[in-house]
Amino acid sequence: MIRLHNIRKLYRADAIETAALANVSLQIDRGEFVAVMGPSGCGKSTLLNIIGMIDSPSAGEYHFCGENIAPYSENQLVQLRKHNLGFIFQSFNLIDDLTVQENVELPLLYQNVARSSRRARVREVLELVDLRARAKHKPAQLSGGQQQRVAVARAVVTDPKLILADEPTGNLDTKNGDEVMGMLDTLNQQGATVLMVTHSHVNASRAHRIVNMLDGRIVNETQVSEEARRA
Amino acid sequence: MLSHYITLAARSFWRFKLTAAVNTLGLALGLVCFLATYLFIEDLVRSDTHFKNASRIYALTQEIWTSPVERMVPAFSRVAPPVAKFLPVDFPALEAVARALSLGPIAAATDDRKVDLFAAAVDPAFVRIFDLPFLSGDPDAALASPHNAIITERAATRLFGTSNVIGRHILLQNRTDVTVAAVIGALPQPSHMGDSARASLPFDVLVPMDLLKGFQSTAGIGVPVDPDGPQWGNDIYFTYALLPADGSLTPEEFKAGLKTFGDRHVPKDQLRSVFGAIPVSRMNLSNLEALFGGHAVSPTTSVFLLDALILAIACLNYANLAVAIATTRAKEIGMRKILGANRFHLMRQYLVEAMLLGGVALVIVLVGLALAIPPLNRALGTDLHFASLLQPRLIGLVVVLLGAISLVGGAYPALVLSRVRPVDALRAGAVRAGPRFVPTVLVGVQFAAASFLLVVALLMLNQNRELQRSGIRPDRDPVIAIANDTKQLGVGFDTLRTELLRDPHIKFVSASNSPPWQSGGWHYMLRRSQDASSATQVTILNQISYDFFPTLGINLLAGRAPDREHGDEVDLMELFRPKKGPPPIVIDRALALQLGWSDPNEAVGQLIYDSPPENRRAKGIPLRVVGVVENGYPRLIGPNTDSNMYLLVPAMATVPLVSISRSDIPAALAHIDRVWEKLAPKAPLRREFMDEMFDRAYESFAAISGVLVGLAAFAFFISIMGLCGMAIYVTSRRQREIGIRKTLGASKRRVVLMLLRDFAKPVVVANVIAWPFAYLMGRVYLDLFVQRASLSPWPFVLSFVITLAIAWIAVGAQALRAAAVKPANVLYAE
Repeated sequence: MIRLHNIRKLYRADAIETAALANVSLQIDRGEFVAVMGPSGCGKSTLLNIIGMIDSPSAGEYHFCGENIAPYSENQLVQLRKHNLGFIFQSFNLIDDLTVQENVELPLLYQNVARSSRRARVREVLELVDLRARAKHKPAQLSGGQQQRVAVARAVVTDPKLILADEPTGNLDTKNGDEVMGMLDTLNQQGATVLMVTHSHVNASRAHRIVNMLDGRIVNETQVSEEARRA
Repeated sequence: MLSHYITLAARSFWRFKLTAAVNTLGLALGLVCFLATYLFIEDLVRSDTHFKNASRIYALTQEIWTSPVERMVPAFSRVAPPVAKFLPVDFPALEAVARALSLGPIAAATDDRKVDLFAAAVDPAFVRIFDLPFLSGDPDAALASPHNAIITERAATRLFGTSNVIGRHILLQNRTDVTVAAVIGALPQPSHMGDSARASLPFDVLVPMDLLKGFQSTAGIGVPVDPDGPQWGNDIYFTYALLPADGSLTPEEFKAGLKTFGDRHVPKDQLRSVFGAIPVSRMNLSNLEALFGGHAVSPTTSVFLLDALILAIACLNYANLAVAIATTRAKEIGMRKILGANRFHLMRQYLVEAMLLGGVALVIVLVGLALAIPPLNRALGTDLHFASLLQPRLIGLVVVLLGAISLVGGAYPALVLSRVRPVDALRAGAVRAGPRFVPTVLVGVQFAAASFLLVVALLMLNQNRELQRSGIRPDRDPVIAIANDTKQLGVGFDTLRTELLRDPHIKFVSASNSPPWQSGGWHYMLRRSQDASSATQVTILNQISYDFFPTLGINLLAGRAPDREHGDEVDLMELFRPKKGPPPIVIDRALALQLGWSDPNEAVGQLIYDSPPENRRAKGIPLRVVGVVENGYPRLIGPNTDSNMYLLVPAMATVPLVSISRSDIPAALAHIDRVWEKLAPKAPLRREFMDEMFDRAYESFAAISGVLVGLAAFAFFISIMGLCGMAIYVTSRRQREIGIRKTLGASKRRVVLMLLRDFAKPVVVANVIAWPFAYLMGRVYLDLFVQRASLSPWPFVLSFVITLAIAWIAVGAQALRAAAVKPANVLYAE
């Protein structure tokens, strides 16, 4: 589904050039759950942003569903992104002025889905994350765990092929974190491909595969056994 | 999708209530100023449109030039008397040509009543051109006889107690009997004629032009009016032309033909006149503009420019505050883009917000205008109603303006923020809504405009103070002006003077050819040499009686005042054909300077030469300067009114001026009333304190400066909000920097001073930029007046201090809040 080949990402400030990613090549198959780990500054979030089409590589090829999208324009990436990807962030990134229902329906709004269909789908996903009763609440009225569940609902409302999660449990306590990880598990079992950046080995062990990064490169990849996953 | 934008906009407005309110109010205020001016101008140009032939009636205008580059008199809609004679010759297609001359208020008496009526003399074709609302009498015959008169219904009721007055007699100015031949109703307004306070041709009674010769009218300029006279410089007649209904002479052809009319008919030895024509509906506007000197930028254009400035400030403020708020929503914008919003989604969102704000502003505008109408009507003498606001054209203009403002104001943040990269938006503090300097520039421009307005307002206030100081002199004994034309009324001035001076409360009695504090006067050209090509100065000729200067408290600087001992009294015709040697004149300090004498004593005994418009190529009649007086003839404004020349012509000085003692003013007034009743029992006395006349003349300038101070206050209010918005934006962006500075040892005080210094920079630069423009504007304004305040640096310095102080007060709270931030809260936030 996703194939990165020799991806480089450079940041230039005056005469200084920093390589956030250096010749990264990675393949992610449909239905996989992949965790990316590494110390701070190793380039995991940069990698996630490029895969999530919210940043562009400086060099290299990015094949998404068989197409090299590295040279795509902003508009083309927007179209691909909204129909295929869902995002979950560490700091939730809900829109404060919108209610839970309105936050979740936003991606459908940008796809010009009809109002009745939107509302039906939003009800469905809110049921999934057990927040239907809070549909009219604003984010400020929810706990951290509830906000992240809203973010999960928003990420899956368009039934995306790929879900990208950047430290999804970073701001949550253990209980809420487990709940969110459980949702990601369930979504993966239902067919969604999941790419997660995490510092937590416990969370990483839920994945099929762990990709370890250091200094902008992938140093190794390890498969997670079924037992370790169930544990 | 639209409902989503509207919901979002409403919630955003609620969240940023104060900013939304300031933005809306700023836009609304700017629009109210703009539209109030529009309504006023609209009212001016709607004048006389109710006449049946209005679209074909044109009023002639005349400019008088002393040289190819120097215009002595701008294009007022009044022309010399011979114009009406030659118009039908050059333009035979004209259906009718008629003149009208305002005679001002005159005494009208019947057997048992006496009142003041405004009178005008008109040619018989006047009633053919203007379809006056005749109630009785034959319009075609109403002015056939020289002693007929047309009277308004209201005047008839005042005089006779009834409007059924055909054939009744009225004694005008105690000497001329006329017979009422027709009665007309009130003229619909707005109009340049009739009984409205703003009318430039006010009348309660119309008399035939032929009556003027026997009337001995001077129409306030000191020269007997002769409607058949060849004086091409005597531009005091309204002259109307009715273009043909069949279109055989179009307005464009008429105006084109008029361009050379003066070259064809004005004698070559007289000053060049350039004639034009304006639709009758534009007469009020045209006269207003000409009164202010007919400068390249007319007063109406100047006011519109000022209003546009306020509107521009409001727009800039909107853009500035929108950017400031939008920066705090950068993360939201980034998320929206990640979730699938493209640039157009975001642009539409911001534009909808701007339009909604504009819609709220529209409601405020309508309410604001409705509230502004009564004071506007009072201040400007207009007749606006709330219905005036509901014209489709005005509503259309408001909607277009609001749409444009919303687009302009909303476009900048829309364009800039829709370009934000999602990945940058999600990174804390990494997004910037456009170039860093833009908010500073926007605020700087706002403050430059506000500072400009403040300096000009201060200069105007200073000038008003100077006007009041020179106009109302508490050190001077009160002076009463008797506005009745004593010559027409047959009241001998010497008799009046003798009777008045019998009372010890009366100190001096003199007279002038025109009442005090009138605008304009009789232009007179002078030169130092007899050579007709030498440099000329244009001044105002005042015809005075004895004791004029002590009566008005004008000090003698050199030489002497004209007196009986020296036989200085002249006949006005001495100016053209002197019999006894050079007529003696007195000039004021300003004229002495213009003629090259810095020391008034140098001018005494000197000969100067006149160059009257009627005879430009004459060698120049010599005049001898016998005295120089201080500036101070009571006149506010008008072309060439900054200097004066005085000629002792008691026969033409028909406006008595009486200086009374302060010790018992009521007694003095009672004596004046008794004397008048004895000398002119059929003419109501019209007396007024000179100070009261000044107040009336000054009123409009007080209103103008009041408006400007108001505009400056609006501009400041809006600019301060813009500065606050910028302060919020800047401090939120610099929180991390402040946290680091405090960690490294900076005190709160140092941080506050650093922020205040940074906020002060655009204000300082703005003032420096504004000063040259304010200086130029102030110079133009001050040059309009006879008595001018000096252009001192204090308004500029004061404006700088005020703008800086207000700016610091406004952003001080924000600076304190920013300086109080805890480093730990900002250094670790992601």
